[in-house]
Amino acid sequence: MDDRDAIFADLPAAGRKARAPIAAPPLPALTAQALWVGFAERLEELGGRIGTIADLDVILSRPHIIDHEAAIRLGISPGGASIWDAEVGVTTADLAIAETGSLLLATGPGRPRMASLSPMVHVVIVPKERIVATMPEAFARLSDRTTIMITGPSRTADIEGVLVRGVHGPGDLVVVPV
Amino acid sequence: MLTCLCDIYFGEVGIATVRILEHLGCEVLFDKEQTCCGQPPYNAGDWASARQVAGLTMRALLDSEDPVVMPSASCAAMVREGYPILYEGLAHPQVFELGEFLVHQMKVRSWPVTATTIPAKRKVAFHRACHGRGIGLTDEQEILVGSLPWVQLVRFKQGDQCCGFGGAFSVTHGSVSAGIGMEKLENIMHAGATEIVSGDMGCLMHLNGLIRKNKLPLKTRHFAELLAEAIA
Amino acid sequence: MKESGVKHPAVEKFARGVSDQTRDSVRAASIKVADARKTTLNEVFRDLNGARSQAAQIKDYVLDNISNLLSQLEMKCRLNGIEVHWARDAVSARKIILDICKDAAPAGSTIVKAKSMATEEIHLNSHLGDAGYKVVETDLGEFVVQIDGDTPSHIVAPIIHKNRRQVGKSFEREGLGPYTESPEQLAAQARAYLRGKFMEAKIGISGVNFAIAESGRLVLVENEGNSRLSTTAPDTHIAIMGLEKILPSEADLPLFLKLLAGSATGQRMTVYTHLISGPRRRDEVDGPKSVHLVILDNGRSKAINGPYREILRCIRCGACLNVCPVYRQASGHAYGNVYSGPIGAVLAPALQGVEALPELAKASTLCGSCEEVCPVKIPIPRMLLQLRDEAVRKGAHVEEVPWALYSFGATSGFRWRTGIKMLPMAKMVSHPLKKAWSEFRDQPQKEGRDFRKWWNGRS
Repeated sequence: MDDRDAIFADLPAAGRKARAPIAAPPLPALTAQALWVGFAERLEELGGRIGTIADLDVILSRPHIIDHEAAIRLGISPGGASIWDAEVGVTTADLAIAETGSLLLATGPGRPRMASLSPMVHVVIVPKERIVATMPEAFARLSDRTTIMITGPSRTADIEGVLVRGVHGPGDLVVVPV
Repeated sequence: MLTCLCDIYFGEVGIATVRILEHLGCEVLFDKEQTCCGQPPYNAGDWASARQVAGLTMRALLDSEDPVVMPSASCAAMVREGYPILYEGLAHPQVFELGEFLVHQMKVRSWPVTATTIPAKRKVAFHRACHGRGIGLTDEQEILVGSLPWVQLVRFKQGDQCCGFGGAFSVTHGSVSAGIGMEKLENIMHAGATEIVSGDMGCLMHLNGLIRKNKLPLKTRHFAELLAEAIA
Repeated sequence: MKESGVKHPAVEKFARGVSDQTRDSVRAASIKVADARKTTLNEVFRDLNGARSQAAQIKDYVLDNISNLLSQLEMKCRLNGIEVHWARDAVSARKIILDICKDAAPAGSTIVKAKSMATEEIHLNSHLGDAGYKVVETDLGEFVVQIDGDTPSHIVAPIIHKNRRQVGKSFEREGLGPYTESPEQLAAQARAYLRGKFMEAKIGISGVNFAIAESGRLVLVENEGNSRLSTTAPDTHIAIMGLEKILPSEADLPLFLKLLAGSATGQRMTVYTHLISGPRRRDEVDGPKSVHLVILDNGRSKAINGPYREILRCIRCGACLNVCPVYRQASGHAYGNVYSGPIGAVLAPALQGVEALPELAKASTLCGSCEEVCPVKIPIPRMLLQLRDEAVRKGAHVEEVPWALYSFGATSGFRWRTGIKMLPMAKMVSHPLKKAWSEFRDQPQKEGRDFRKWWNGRS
């Protein structure tokens, strides 16, 4: 008997009662603009910051990698630094979540996973209408590709409980609504 | 129910319990055949012994319609929650810890003081026994003690944490038990209290033992004794 | 050790050897996180108790339907291109993982690892090390533990017992950079050093926080970014999960992610929530070329059918450890098990059988703080009592206290009253239990009047 058979032989058989549906909390009726105010508050609490297109000139003067959509929106040609040499990663988010200050980024063609992970600075372009109030709303429309939900800059407090940002992932998270 | 610890060591607590119930107009009955609720062997996992002891308690105390009251949350928890585990299908017996009986059944929230001599004002740290958690007790005992004019309840750090007694745990895991207890005593002294009041003799016996061994400037009382002190 | 009269169980023995520095730092860290947990969860949830009940129900649903959900997970993962393996026990799991590694890269290769209790449960690191692989822990705290040959003292803050000078010396010794005491600079040294490992590693190994049955997705949460790097940069990703770590649907994630972050570290949300759908697709730029999921039994299938099944609701948040007075006093490694504290005291014997660990359930005062904070409402004190009962019934544990003698005395009013009258004579007798008590405390005295005398004396 192989491992799988042995395990299933011991597990209790077919399921029993039906599950209770997930209670969905009432959704606030907020405009995208009001949601961005909430998002910005959360982001700043986490040590991230809201930036503008004007900030990008300085940032993009350093070696960078950039995803396809961001490149088109900003009028920058992709390419340049390698994954491990880039100091800045520029990506586009699929969605921002106001209640937690989170960003959802799916992979896909022209969307390297590493762009939001290995550089020390991560710039996230978010079209203004791509924002929802709550996580349940966001999770109802997840891409079926591998996705990362980013809630603030990388951090640790392992050494004496002292907060340090940018341990392995980006230490500087800049969100630019466009 | 007297409880075994009051029977063996802490008669004054039993006496105080009877006096304060009579002060409120209750007629108190005491069945001399009672022994112990069976919690010690139950906690140790010797459920055969626990069932034997529980059997006697059920015969001695639980047959009548009269409410059964005890000055101990751990004994009340044992009878209410432990007996249905020992005897599958048994309904939860309706017994009361003293504080909840006074507050919820007798509707007393402020203790009627009738003593002629009023003690000096003092700072009291209240230790809430963990067993109350399991039977829904909250701040009944503190409300009664806090209503005494000469008592100033002080808050101390990690006030909710266990005292470290845990029954046989106190002897099987002595250094951990003592460490937890000493942490509580240090927090209490740091808050400026000179007296520790609780509703469970297990906790007080353990803390008292630490206090005496380490010659700390603290004393321990059961809350029933404070209430009894307040009546003539 | 019998100087106090009673043979010390393992947790007590270990606790006696813990340094004051370790004890104080573990206690302080636990208190800090416990307070943060309470504050944050009450901000995030209007009805925290209701949220916990809901989470408990969902996890019970998972256990009730585990066969179907595992089959569904397996099918969906396979459709996503994730290779699924089944491991009956630790031996099987280690063999499966080593075989995958051998296919992926030769001995001598670097393997990067994200923190995973399942890998510790099966003692994976030493097994791979013996086969010639260089396994590198990439979580900062775990990395320090590894290079020092140390053990983590706290589940969320593994090197809380170390100060910055000790970490600085260790990094200097290992060649990470010049000596520094600044946490920022030390983190930067670790980042640079481990970057090299991520670059050269062919294999990355991780655990799984939640596996979603309906979509075949693996969900991993973290704060640093090392788990993402371990599961993104190398060509092969191996994920191992206990078979109970399933959630039925992606719609369940918001509730569980919020409960996990709040309960574990007092954060509103962990920094990275990685939803892994499979290996790199043909039109994707990067990501692992192959992803493997090892589903581990190791006693769980038996536990599901037994009296301790609720322990399998556990989402490994560690909230119970942080509030446990025994854990705060004795620290994590006292339990001698990858799973420590209240969760470990039930999970370890539930998986291995109470005969293997008959005394662990006694390392508790049954204060109930763990149950109060558990995000999935596991009734830990009740299960500790059941474990104690099982240990006694199976003869796996012999009680120090002669309870049969006690119950002989307590099953007759006459014997009881007589016994009490004879107690003063017992003062002369020395007994191991009395010695164990008086090692730390004065013996209790009869205080004041005798109740029965007083009662009988009233007219």
